[in-house]
Amino acid sequence: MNLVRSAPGRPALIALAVLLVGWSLPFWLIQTQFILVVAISAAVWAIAAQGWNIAGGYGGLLSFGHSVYFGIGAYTTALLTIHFGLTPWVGMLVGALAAAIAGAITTFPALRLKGTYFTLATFVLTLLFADFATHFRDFTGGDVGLSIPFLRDAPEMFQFDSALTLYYVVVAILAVVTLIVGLLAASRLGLFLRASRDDPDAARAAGVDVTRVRLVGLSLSAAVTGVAGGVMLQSLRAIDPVTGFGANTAFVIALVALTGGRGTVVGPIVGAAVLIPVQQILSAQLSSAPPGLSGMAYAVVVAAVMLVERRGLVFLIARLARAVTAAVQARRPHRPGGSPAGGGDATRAATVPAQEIPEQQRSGS
Amino acid sequence: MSTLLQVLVSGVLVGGLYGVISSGLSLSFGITRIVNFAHADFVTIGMYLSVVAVSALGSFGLFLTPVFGLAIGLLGVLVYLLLLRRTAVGATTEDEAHLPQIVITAALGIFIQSLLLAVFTSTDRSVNTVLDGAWRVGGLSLSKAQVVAFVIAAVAFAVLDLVVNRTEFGRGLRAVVDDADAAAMVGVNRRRVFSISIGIGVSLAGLAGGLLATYQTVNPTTGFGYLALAFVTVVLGGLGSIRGAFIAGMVIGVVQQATATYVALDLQNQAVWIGFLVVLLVRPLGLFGKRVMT
Repeated sequence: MNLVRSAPGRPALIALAVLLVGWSLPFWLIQTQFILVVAISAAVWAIAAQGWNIAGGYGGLLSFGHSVYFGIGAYTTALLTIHFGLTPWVGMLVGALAAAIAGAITTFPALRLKGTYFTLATFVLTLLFADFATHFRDFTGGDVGLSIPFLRDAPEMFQFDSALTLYYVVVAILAVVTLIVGLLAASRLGLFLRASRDDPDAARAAGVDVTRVRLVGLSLSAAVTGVAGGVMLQSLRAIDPVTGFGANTAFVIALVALTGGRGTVVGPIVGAAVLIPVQQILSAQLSSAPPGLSGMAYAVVVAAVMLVERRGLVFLIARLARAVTAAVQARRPHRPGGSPAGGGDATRAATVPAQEIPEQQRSGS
Repeated sequence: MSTLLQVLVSGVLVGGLYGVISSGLSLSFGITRIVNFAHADFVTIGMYLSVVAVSALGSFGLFLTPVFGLAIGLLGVLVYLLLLRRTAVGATTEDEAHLPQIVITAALGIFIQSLLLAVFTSTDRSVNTVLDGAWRVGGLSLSKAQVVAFVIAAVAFAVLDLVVNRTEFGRGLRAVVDDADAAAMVGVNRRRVFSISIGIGVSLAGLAGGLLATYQTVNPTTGFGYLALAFVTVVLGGLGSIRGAFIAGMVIGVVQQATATYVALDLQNQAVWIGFLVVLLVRPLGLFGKRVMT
C-alpha cells in the first residue's frame, strides 16, 4: 500500500528509486544491445504514460488521444532542430510548451463532454492530427516524416556516443518526471484533480474551480507527454505521422498507464516495464518471432490485468503482498509450520474484507 | 452536374455500409454504454471470412455472408459474457465501470488484428466475383458490388429496425436505452438484453465486412480504419438511435466522396473528423440525439 498512496517526501524517494534501479539494470538485467533498445523505448513510453497519468489517472480525463501531445512534442523538436539548428534540449521544452497549449485547448471539450465522449473526441482528434501531418508534406515531410541529422557524439544536441549513455539519460528524465508527478499528486492541485475526478459537482460545491484545475492538469499532462515525444524523436532520430500521432501510439500511452495503475506514481513505470518488453521482444520486426505474436501477447496481458485487478498491476502487486503478509502472520501465532490448508483459509479471511470495500460501494450502474 | 450526381450516388452506396456498421454499434453502445473499440475489427473478420469463402467456392461463397454474420454475432456474445460482463462489478461511478471495458475492447481489437496478421499475413487480399464491374445508368457508373452490398445492407437495417421498434424484445431494448434501472425493475433481463444487443451489433459489423470484401481489399487493419468513422456516425446520429446512425452513415459517405472529389483524396476523412469535433462541441447531443454532456 505504501507504493500506492503518496505523501509529501515520498515522491523524492520514489524518484530516487527509479533512478537507481533504472541505472543499475545494465549491470545485471540488460545484457544485449537489443534489450537495451527495448529498455530505452520502455522508458520513453513510461514518461509519456506519466504525462497521461496526470490528466487520466489523477484527473479522470480518460484520453485515448495523448498521441496528439506526443506528436506535437516530437514534431516541434524536429522542426526547430532542422530549420534553426536549435538544440533538442531547448527544442523539447518548446515542444512541451506547444503540447501544453494544445492541452489547454482540449480542456474545452474536456469540460463539456462526459467520460466516454471525451475519450472518443480525443481519439478522433489524434487521427485528425495524423492526417494533417501526412497532408502538409512541405512542412512535415508527409508519410515519411522528418529525420534529424545524425551526429555521433554530441551531448549538447541530445545525441550520445552509445545507446547505453542514451539509456542513462532517458532514465534520468523519467526520474525527474516521476518526481514532478509525485509532487503534483501530493500537492493541493493533485487533491483538487482527484476531487474533480471523483465528483465534479461536490468539488465545485466545496469551492474547487474545476475548470481551472482541469485546464492546469491537462496542460501539465500534455507538456510531459510532449517531452516524451521529443525524447522518442532523439532516440529514433526520425518521426513520422504514425509514430507521432497514430492510433497505436494513442493506445500504447493509455494502456501502459492503465495496465500499470492509473492515479499512482509508479503505475505508468510498472506498466511500461511489463508491456513494452512483451510487445517488442516478441515483435517480428525487431526479433525473429512470428508476425502477430507480439500483439496477441500484449493484448492478453492487458486484458488479463483488467480482469484480475481493473485498477492495474500496482494494486495487484499490493494485493498479493497483503495476502502473503496475512498468510505469514496468520501462520505464526498458531501452529508453526501448520497445514497449507489452514494457511490458505487465513489468507482468504484476511483478504476478503479488503476486497469487499469496493463491492459495498457498488452503485446501480 | 453529373459529377455531383455521381458523388451523391457513390456516397450513399458506400455510406449504406457505414450505416449498418454504425447502427450495430449504436444499438450495443446505446444499451450497454460500452464503447467497443474492437467493433470495427469484427468488420475485418467478416471481410476475411468472405475472402476465404470466395476462394473456396467462387461467387457462391457470397451466399455464406449472412451465416458468417451470425457466427460473428455469437462470438460477440461470448466476448461480452466472458470478458466484459464481470468488469462492471464493484465500480463506484459510471466512468469507473466502463473504463476496464474500454481497455479490454481495445486489447481485443489488437488481439484480433494480430491474430489475422499471423494467419493471413499483412498482404492485401481481394476477391474476384460476378459482382466485379459496373452498370452504366444514364451518365452514372454504378459498381455492381456496391449496389448489391447497399441493397443487402438496407435490408439488414430494415430487419433490425423492425425488431427494435415492432417486437416485444425490441421494446425491452428501447426501455433499457431510456432508463436501464427502471427497465430492470419492470422485469427486463438486463444480462440477456446486453449480450444479445452486443451480439446483434457485432453481427451487423461482420455482415457489413462480408459485403465490403466484394469491392475493397482487406488486410488485418482494414476494419480498424472504419472504427473512428463508426464512432463519429454513432455520435452524429444520436446515442442509441439506430435510424439516426444509418442516416448519418450515408451523410458521412457523401461527405467523404465529395471531399475526395472536390478537395483532395487524402483529406476525405479530415472533413469528417472536423465536422464531428465541431458538432460534438456545438451540439453535444448529436444531430438527432439525446443528452451526452455533463
